[in-house]
Amino acid sequence: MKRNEKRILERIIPISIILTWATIRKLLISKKVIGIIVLCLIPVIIFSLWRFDMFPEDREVLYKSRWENIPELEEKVTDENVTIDINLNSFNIVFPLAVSETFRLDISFSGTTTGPVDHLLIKIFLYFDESYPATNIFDQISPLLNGTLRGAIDLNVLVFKGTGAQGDNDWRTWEFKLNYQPLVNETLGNGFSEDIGNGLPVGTNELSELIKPRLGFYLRGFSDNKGTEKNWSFTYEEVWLEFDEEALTDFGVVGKDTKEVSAVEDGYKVFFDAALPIYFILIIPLITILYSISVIREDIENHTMVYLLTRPVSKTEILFFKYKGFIISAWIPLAISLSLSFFITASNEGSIFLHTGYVGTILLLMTLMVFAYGALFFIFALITSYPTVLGLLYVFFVETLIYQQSNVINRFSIMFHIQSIADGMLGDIANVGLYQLTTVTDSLIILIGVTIVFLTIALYIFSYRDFT
Amino acid sequence: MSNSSKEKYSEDIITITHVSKWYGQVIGLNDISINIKRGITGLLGPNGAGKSTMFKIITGQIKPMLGHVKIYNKPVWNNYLLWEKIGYCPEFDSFWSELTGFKFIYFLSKLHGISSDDAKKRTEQALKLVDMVKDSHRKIKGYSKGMRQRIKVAQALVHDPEILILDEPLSGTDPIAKFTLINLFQQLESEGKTLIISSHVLEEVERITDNILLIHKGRLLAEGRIQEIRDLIDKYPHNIFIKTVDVSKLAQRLIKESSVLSVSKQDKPKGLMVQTHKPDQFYSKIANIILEENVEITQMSSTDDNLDAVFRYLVE
Repeated sequence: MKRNEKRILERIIPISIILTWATIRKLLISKKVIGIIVLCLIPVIIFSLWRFDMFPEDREVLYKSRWENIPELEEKVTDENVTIDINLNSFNIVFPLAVSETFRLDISFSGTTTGPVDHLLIKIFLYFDESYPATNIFDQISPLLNGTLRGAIDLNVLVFKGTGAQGDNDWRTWEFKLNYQPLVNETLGNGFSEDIGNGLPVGTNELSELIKPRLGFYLRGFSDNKGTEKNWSFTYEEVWLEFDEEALTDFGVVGKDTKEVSAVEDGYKVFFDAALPIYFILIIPLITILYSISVIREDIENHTMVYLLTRPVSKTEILFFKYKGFIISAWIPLAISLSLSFFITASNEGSIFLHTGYVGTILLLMTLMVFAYGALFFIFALITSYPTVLGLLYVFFVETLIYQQSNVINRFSIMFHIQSIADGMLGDIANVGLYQLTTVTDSLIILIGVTIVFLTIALYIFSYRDFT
Repeated sequence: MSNSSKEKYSEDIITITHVSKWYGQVIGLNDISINIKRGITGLLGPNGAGKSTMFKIITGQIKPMLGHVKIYNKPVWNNYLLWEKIGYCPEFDSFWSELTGFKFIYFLSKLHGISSDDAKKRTEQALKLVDMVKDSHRKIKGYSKGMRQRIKVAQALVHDPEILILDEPLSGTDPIAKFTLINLFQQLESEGKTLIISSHVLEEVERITDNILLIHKGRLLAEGRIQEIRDLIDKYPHNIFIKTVDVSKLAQRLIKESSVLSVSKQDKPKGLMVQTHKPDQFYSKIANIILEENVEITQMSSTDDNLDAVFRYLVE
């Protein structure tokens, strides 16, 4: 190794340590640290209170969906001795928003019966709010439509599974699982398909804005031993789940009865439906704005950058080590806060470590966001005296408004790629299926590439502008 | 002086060749060419003359639009390793003021890639040179202007550079700090170092060196002719601001002095503005007056109005 190269290597380590530490220390002693702590604590406190039922009314708000017993059918219970209890195990429904996307319904529930039941019939209805003109949609989804309920999809499932001591024919206990994802044969672009075969409506129209979907099902028990001319229907239990429009969030449409779903799953849902969006949309962007801009801007405005620029340290090193200091300073409180929120919401009956793999994925997503946003906000801090305003405008317009667009423009937001990775790595649990996203690999490459490009631009500006 | 010493002192350390810099429509520097040799060079000019721009270009902080600057025959732009040989004291009174004086200098010395022990030793040496050892463990935000100036000079010295570029190092300093720093600069010169010191006060520069560069509106007006400047400046009334709480007492005493033309009170900051046509005589007497009257002054500085008048005269 040449003498000069060795010397450069020998000096780079202490310089790296001192510059990174100086950046961290400066952020730690700045008043901004109070804001960071508050931002990180808010979700932890909110979800701690939720976990310990300190404000159950807010728990309702988080779900934005509810069970309703509507409407009464004409058929009535014919045998008071037969009862059916239903427990909903899991439930997920995904509505399509683009031509290439498909409707998906996953449902799982189980229950018990009393009385001489030898098989069950389940009917599942999905129907849409009356405000949506049925002719535009329901004419196209035949043959699945049933005209009895306006615009409803009616699935009749005659036989499923008994799980009592006598096996499949024993209906004292039973379980039902349905995964329904119709094939889409043909589409018409900006609108719904005309001849969709056995598929469901797809199109670029945003269903979430047009319709108010409701899903309901009822269960009836039958016995061949009773009666001679026909199967007797003994009883039915009917439940309806209605989605508020607000429930159709970016993270998918999830409805469940808080009383019926187990607490562990409930916690996951709360974390992925409520906590994670708060971090992604609010806390992570705000913390990166506060810290990354401060790291650069304060030295420019206080005229202290000159002390760094007049040392045998290259501008690349100064910028890179400042960036490194910012990453560490922002990452640690965010990682602690995110992990705490996750374990608090998902904790129940000692099962909090069942899915710790999720934490790794969530931290990866957060890290990618901090890297990309940090590099972008470094540019803002270098080109304008009002980088915070610019940063907030960017987050609002690009990462919120543009990201929510259902066409290709949303791919220009960082959030879109974060969502793609979340969708790919977390799957249904994150309920991000509203959009058809890119692959995990594509989005990872894009985010890493974007971060490198942002840092290169920041370095170019830093090298040529007069900050003294 | 021996022949080898003569050669050493005649060597061009900094070469500035046809350097120009504009800020939009405003000329920062206009076709400046200078060769700076070892020893102390005073860069004299009123505020806005282009002194700081010239320093920024010399130190490679900004790139000239035309021309080039070389130090030890090496281009300065994007040549950050040259900073091992250069110390720079900026004009701005800015610090990471939550740090103590010691930590401030220690941190900057560490950026030279030296060990912690070495950095501590060098920090202590630099503080000793500017007589700031006693107060070095206090936070900078509690320092007086004079102390802050000395800390700025110390950070420029901490890596024992061969070249020192000091932008208004005496600005706002009290007489004691000024005395300490001027002695230090002369000591460094005797050690064979190269110093460029800017000021808008001729008397300050004159006490340090007789080798000056006169700059005004981005142009180099004169080089090394300090007596000519001195003759010119004496023709114009000279304003000196004295920051003191004993305003009335000092004013009554000063107005009796033959060298003083007028004395006026100032409220913000509280003090006196003295107009004199014999600044040398005034400066030689002011120390005794302070002692005799037992008044406390915290700052004495020359405004540049008079110097600007001289420059206008020179330009015409």
